[in-house]
Amino acid sequence: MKSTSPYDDRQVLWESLTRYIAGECSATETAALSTVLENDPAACELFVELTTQCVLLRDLTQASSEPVTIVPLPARRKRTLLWTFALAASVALAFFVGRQWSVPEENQREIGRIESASAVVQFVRDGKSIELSVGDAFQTGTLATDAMETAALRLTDGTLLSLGTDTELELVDDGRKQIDLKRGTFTADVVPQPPGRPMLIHTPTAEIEVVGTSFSLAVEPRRTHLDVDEGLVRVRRLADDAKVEVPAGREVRVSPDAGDPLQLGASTRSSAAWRVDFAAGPPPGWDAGEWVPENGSLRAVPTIEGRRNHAVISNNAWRDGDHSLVRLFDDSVVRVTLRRQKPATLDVVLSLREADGRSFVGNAFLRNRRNWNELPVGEWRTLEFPLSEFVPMRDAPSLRIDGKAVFKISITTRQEAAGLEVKDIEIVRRP
Amino acid sequence: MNEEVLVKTLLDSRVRLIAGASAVLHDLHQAEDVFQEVLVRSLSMRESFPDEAGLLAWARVSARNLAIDQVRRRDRLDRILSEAALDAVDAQFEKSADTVSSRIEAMRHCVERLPEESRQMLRLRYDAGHKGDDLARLLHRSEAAIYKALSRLHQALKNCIDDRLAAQEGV
Repeated sequence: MKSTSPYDDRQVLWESLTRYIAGECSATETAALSTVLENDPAACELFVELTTQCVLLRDLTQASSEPVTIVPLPARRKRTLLWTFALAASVALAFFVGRQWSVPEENQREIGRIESASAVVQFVRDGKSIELSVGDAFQTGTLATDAMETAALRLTDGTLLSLGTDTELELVDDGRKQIDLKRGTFTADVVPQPPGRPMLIHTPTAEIEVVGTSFSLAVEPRRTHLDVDEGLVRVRRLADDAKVEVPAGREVRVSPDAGDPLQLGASTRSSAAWRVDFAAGPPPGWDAGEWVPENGSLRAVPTIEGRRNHAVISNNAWRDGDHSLVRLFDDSVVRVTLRRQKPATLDVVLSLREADGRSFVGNAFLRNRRNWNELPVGEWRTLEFPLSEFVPMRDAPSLRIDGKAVFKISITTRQEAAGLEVKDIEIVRRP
Repeated sequence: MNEEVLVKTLLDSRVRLIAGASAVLHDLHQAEDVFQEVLVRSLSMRESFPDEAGLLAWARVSARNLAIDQVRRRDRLDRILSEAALDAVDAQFEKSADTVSSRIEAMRHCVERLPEESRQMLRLRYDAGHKGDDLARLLHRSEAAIYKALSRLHQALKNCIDDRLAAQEGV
């Protein structure tokens, strides 16, 4: 029998469904696929197989309890991939290849440890590659995460480097810290450095001087992207020696082209502090809460029609294109000023993404939801929750919350008549 | 419903719920987000679920509605399957629900036997979240070639998984 649909060819159907799942089918193609799925149970079976495979593949690549689930590329192949990325920035490569650091032979001491890692971290020193796990120490050398891995490095002075996926950097500490970011991204929370010895970071297009601050840095094709959360960072473009100082809340993108303007822009990343109050009503896009103008608060409202739970819920910053509300550090605290009219179990839920925004992490809840009987009914109180009181709701006991970005926060009670009102919410680092 | 039972029931159906949401959202990370939101909402409503079947029925509908709502916000409703197609897919998910857990181990076995380059492509696509044009650039292939290769990888995995499960059952 002659085919009446291109999807009668199962290879064509597999391809189209693979593209559909990636969101790359046009409206016309989507309508055609709908028709096939509505009328062909075998096509439905194939689609279910495909979507299930996608979820399982993602789970396998993100599994944190095993060293390697999908085997990372060995060093030689990884190097090839590195150059593939680097060649996309061929102009930048010229700067990268020429740089040589002098590493004193006696500098064999520990300079940091792996504080957390979704899998193993590749460590290369003196041409030898080994795999490091959480708690392992490292010396001067090169550290790399694979396309599936993230890792946090705690240096001996307390500086925290959080490496994104597919990142490689060389780290030297001979009294002055130097980082050569070869590919990928990292965020840094740098403790004050010794006088006259600021941390130096090299990328293919820029040199960055850090005295003590927090920021994120990414090597993108043909440029470096620096985003500063706190403090001040000095940047020098290698192409023409142009310099710029980047303060908190600002970003700069450094291309290898001397002609490009070296301009600061507003940061697109989350900052280390976030605060909202409702004196003038909820901010635009706020998800849930009824404004009470008499006292400048939001009253919790039902989140699902007909149900008992009531909540005040922020906007979803990631969905709104703002990336996130705030980035979490190990000394971050959540403060909520609230009152309630009856005893009520209170939940505070933080919805988290990776700091680079690339992937969803999960929700974190208060470890011990409390019945706030100790709070006087009807009186305003400011409650403070350190990050240590939150636990992730995910089957990942080793998952760390600090270093992640909050893109939504919910304050919830399960009692309809609790009369929860929230005056302000803030997430800040403890002074 | 007991909170522990509720969470276990939903976690046991996690893959199926995320897969269903991703059929609407075209994004696994967003689909996981939807699953977590369903989990959060279900906890506050746990007293209203008569049993596990009722919970799962509610979770399936909620996940799909939350996903559609997200797509609606982006004004991209014409890029999701028709309601009837999603219903048909949902019915198929029901039929295959019991086989998911057995496929996980088989999937791990089959992925480990793929060539290095194939595994790299899967990682870039499903973990790092790169799509056609990004993958084409990173892997120096055309976008059409990328999707052809990806779809063949999925077919190969299906065949491998089916064979392994059949061998385990002694068929």
